[in-house]
Amino acid sequence: MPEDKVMPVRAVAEPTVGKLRAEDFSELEIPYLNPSIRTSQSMAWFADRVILGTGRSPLGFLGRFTGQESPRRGAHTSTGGSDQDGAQILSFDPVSEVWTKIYDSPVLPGKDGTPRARDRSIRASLVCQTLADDAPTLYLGAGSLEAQVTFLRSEDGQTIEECGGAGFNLDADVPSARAMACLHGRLFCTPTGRNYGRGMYDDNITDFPIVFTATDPRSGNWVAASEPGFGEAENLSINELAVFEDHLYAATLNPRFGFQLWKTDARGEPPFKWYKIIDRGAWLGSTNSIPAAVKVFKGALYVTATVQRQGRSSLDNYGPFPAEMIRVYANDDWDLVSGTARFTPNGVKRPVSGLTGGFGDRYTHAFWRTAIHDGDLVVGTAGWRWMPTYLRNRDELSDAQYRRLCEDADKYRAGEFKLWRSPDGETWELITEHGFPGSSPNNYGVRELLPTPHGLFVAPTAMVGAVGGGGLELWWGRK
Amino acid sequence: MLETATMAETAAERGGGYPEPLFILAPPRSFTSIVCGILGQHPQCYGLPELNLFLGDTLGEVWGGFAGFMKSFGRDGLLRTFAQLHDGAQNEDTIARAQQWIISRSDWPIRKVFDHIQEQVGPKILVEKSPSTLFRAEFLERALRTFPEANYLHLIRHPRGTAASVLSLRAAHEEIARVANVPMLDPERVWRISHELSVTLTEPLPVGQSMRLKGEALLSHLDVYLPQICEWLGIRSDAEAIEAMMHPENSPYACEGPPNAPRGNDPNFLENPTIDPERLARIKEPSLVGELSWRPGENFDPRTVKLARQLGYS
Repeated sequence: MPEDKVMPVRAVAEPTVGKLRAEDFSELEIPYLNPSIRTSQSMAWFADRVILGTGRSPLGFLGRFTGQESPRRGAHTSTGGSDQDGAQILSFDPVSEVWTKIYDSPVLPGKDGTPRARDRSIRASLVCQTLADDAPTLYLGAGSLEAQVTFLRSEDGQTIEECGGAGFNLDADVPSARAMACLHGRLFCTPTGRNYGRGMYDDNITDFPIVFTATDPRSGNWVAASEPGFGEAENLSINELAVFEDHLYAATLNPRFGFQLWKTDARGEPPFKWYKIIDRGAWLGSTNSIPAAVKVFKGALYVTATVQRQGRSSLDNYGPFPAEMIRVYANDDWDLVSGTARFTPNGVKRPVSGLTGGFGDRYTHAFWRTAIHDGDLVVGTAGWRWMPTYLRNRDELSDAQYRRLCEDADKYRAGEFKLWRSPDGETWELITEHGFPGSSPNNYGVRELLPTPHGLFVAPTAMVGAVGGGGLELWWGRK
Repeated sequence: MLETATMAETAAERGGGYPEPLFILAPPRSFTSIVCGILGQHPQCYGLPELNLFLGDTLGEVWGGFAGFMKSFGRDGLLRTFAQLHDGAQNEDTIARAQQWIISRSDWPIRKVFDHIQEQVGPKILVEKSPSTLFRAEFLERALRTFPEANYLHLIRHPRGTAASVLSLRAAHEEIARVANVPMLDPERVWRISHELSVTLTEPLPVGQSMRLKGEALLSHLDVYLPQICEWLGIRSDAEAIEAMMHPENSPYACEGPPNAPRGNDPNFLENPTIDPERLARIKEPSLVGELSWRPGENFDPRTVKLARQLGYS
């Protein structure tokens, strides 16, 4: 915990010699993918292989952007493929550079009897040795196109088996798993989404904002490890989980007040006793509504947050608001790493990096993914400019103010996203400012980062599927 | 807090002898008078009444500008300040002399006027809080242009609480109601436009030069936030300094002025400038949801709700 209360002034550094740079990344050709695959929401390093979970768009009739007018810069989502194409899991051996397809979504009769893929996307994965496992085991959450989430497991990274039970042991519409963590022989996981009723328009929220836990996920014995929303109705989901200093941390989506961070020692029998250590979006408020990534790095838990895109009534057409990053210590003190300096009940907070939100770029919408690689904290971003929702309904602004906003929005560069690196959370340098040379112009953010002994793997995500010129890319960075 | 005191002194030396001023940015009825009164009583600060200096480029433009507002009560703060600083007292004679002083210097740029005040006060942080700074974008732009290194405190209050206070004041003071009871000065509209201006125009400032604070949080937890404001400004936060701040009534401007310049601050504050800790501890944030008392059948405009939520209200 730095004692220095004077505002640090830290220039964004030049690239460090010997560290990864944009030109060190090359795109991997991925075989086996069906035409519907457009992204990866989950990767893992297991059994000396990259485990690449993939995902497709929702079914056409449930499409997120169906009938919606918006100033998106790209084409509307193209599902690609057929309804029988679903989530896949591939493995990649970086030594032999051989790909293997280890899982294809089963095709089952859909709600109307028509054969459809069961799984939409592998949205969560984690290596965990539960009390019931003989060795570290890979667990995955396969989001469903029409039904409940399915949990998968693998003991060798080559064969996948389905866990028993139904989803989170609930008789409810819970199509996907969001976050996973492993502590004291327990697997923890949180649900997200809903296929029916409000539809897939917002799959970040859930009717069950609960941390679930299982000591034997294979049997499907999930039970609640927390009360719903930690007792607060405005917590609409548990978006991120992390283990830090023998405690489990959970970060909530709270559009009304801002995200919260909760903590438990997870001792005894569930549900556990939790207590809140960060409230109201780290006291910025509702523009810090959704936690995007959590990562333990050099003695602190780094948490990133931003405002959620929610459509017409939300703050996302009132921005752009840049992403923020805080770091929390085991004693519950916290620093602002990048963000708006402010007064808080915990003292005045000024960014230890000297950088406002978005590491000084207000058009950085999210610090979407974080990873530890080569001794550094690496951050992959997503931007505002590709979908400038904030240009809608701004009649409160003067013509000059609105013109300035439009001019800034027009600085959009197709395919842009940023990768940052820091050795200490305070000095930051860019690995790339505008994506990778040759990557798809439809990319708009870094959806997954996977550090391995053989280099850093980066999966950008695109605003369209493969049919529309996007699709899944995987980039391998190595010196 | 010896270290921070040294920082302030060092800053003063670097800046040619005087520290940068602190401007409180907020629309009317946002707790600005009490907050300015509190901060202004810090031993290293000097709290000013409302100068309205950013209404023009020169003292003459300010004096004659924004006609209805300045001629009704907008000049009182300037008059009382010069009477106090030049003659050490505020009475009808010293106010008259202050008026003559102002009229004979109508070509002075506002920066020169402010520097003159600073010279009279000495090496203290001047604290100023004119809500008129947010009446128009050009006024705030002028402030930022004239004082590019100053600190800016964006003081916020829930729109429902602000509006209730505005309406209560208008009901109690006929002369204010005469000027203000027009659709353009609907309290919700004034709240939204003022805060939007402040948010937009201070956003590009370097980290920490402009800080936002809820008035409700500050006043109900003075023990938590006053030391933070001191830390931000690089001034003492010891018990003696905090105790001094708890007595805004000690300011020479915390009372009604002479008949030819009675105001210069919120009338309620001038009537009762003493802190009532029990009353302040009861300050709560109202809700954005629900009918507006002054526009029956209507709720807040969605733009107001969004801005209020952005500012941390619900």
